[in-house]
Amino acid sequence: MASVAAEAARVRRAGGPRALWRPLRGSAMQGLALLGGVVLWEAFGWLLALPWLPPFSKVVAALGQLIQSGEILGNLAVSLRTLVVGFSLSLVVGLVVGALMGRYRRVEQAIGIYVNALLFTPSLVFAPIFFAFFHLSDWTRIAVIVKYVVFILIINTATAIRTTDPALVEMARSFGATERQIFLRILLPASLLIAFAGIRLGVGRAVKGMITGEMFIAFVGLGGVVQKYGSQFDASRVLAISLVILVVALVLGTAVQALDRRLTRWAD
Amino acid sequence: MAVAAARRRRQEERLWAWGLPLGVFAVGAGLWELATINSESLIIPTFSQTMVGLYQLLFQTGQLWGPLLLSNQALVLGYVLAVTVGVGLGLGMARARWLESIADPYVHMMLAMPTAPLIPLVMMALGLGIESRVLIVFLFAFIYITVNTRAGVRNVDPGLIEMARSFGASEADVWRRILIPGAVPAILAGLRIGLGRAVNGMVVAELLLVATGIGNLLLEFRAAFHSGLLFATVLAVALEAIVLLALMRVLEDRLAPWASSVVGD
Repeated sequence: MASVAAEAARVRRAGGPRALWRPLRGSAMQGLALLGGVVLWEAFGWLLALPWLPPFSKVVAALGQLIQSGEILGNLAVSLRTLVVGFSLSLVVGLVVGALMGRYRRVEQAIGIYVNALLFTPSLVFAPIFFAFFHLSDWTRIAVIVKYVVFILIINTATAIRTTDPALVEMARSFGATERQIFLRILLPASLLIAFAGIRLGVGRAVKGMITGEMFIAFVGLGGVVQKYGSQFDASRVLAISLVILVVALVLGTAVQALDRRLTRWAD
Repeated sequence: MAVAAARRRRQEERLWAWGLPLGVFAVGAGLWELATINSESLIIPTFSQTMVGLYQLLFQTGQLWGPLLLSNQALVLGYVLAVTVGVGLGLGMARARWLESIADPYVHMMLAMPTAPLIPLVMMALGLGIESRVLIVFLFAFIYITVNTRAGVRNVDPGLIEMARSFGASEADVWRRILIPGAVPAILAGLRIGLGRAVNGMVVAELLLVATGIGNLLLEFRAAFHSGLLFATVLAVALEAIVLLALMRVLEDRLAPWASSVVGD
C-alpha cells in the first residue's frame, strides 16, 4: 500500500512518465550554456587581452599553482573554521530568539522593530565597530558573519512559528498536551519547513559575510588572499580564487538543500 | 460597559506596543553607557559620546553631509542601472525560453557568489573613480531585481493569459493588461531588496576598493581615535538604509497593496 502510494506520488510530482526526460533536457541546456560561457571567456581573453580578463585556461593554470603551493587549502580551512563558528552561533541565536518572537507577542513587540531594522542595514559598515572590539582576532570576522546571517534567521523562524496552523495547537491542547509538547511536537516540526528557507538564505549570506569580512581585514582566509593578489593586479589568481569561492558557496547551498529534503520529507 | 472595557484594552495594547520597544532601547542604551563610562577607552565610546557625535556631525560641523552626498551619487547611478537591467532581464527570462535556458545557470551562480572578490577586477577595469563604485553597486543589486521580476511574471495565472488570448489579445495586450500588473508586487519587492543590496554595495566599495565619502570618513575617524564620531557615522549610514527601505515599503503599500511573493533576502 505504502509503496504504491509513494510511487503514485512520485509520478504525480514528476508530471507523469513522459516528463522524466524534461529535466534531463533542461540540465543539458544548462551545461551547454555554461560550456558556451567558458568558450567565450577563453576567446575574448585572448582576443581582447584585457588586463582584468585573462583567458580561462590561464585562470585554471593559476588555480593549479595555488592548489599546489597549498595557499588555497590552508586559507580555505581558516575561512571555513570562522564560517562554522559564525553560522553555528547565528543558528542558535536565530532559532531561539526567532522562536520566542514567534510564540510570544510581547517579545515580538519589544524587539521586532530592531531585528527588522538591523536586517536592512548594510553589514560591512559595522566592521569598524567590530574591529574596535575584537581587533585582529578571529572574532571580528565571526562577528561580520553573524551580522550577515542572524537577523534573516530570526525573522524566518518567527514567521515559521507564527504561521503554524493554530487549529493544530488548539487540538493538541484539547487532548491535554503541555506547552512543552506543543512546542516540541507541533511548532518545531511545522516551522522547520519555513525556517529552512531562512537557513538556506543564511548559508549564502554566511559565505558572503565570510569573504567580505576577510577582505576588510585583508590578512587571512580566501578573502585575504583575493585582496593580496588584487593589490598586485594579478587577475588570473583573483579569478582562480573567486572560482573556489563560488564552488564553496554552491556546495554549501546544495548540502543545506539536501539536508532540508531529508528532514522535511514527511511534508511531501 | 463592554465598549469602555474594549477601549481600555485597546489603549493598554497601544501602551505595550510603544512602551516595550522604547523600554528595550532605554535598557540597551543604559547598559552601553554603564559598561563604557569608566573604561576611558579611546576605541569604544559611551552611548552619550556617540549621540553627541551624531548631533555634531549632522548639525554642528555638518561634516557628514558632503561625504554622504558623494557616496550616494554612486548609489543612485548604480541602482538606476540595476533596476533597468534587472527588470528588463527578468521580464525577458520570464517570457523567452531561449534566454531563460541560457541565463538560468548564471543567475544561480550570481545569487550564490559573493560580489566582493570581483572588486579587484573592477578596479583593474575601471580604475578608482566613480565608475567603479557605480559598477559595484550595480553588481550587488541587479540579480535580486532580476529574479524577483522573473518570479513575479511567472506567478501570473496562465489561465488568465489563455483567456485573454482566446478573446483575441495580442502579446502587447497580454503584457500591458495582465503580465505587468500581475507582476508589480513582486517587482516592487525586488526593487526593495535590490535597494538594500545597493546600499551594501556602496559601503563595500568604499571600505574595500577606495576610501571616498563615508568610507573615508570612517577610516579618518578611526585613525584619529575619534571613536564617538566613528560610531556615529556607522549609525548614520544604518539610519539612511532604514529610512530608504521604509520609504520603499510605503511605496509598495501604495502601489500594490495586495500580497506578493518574494525571492531572495
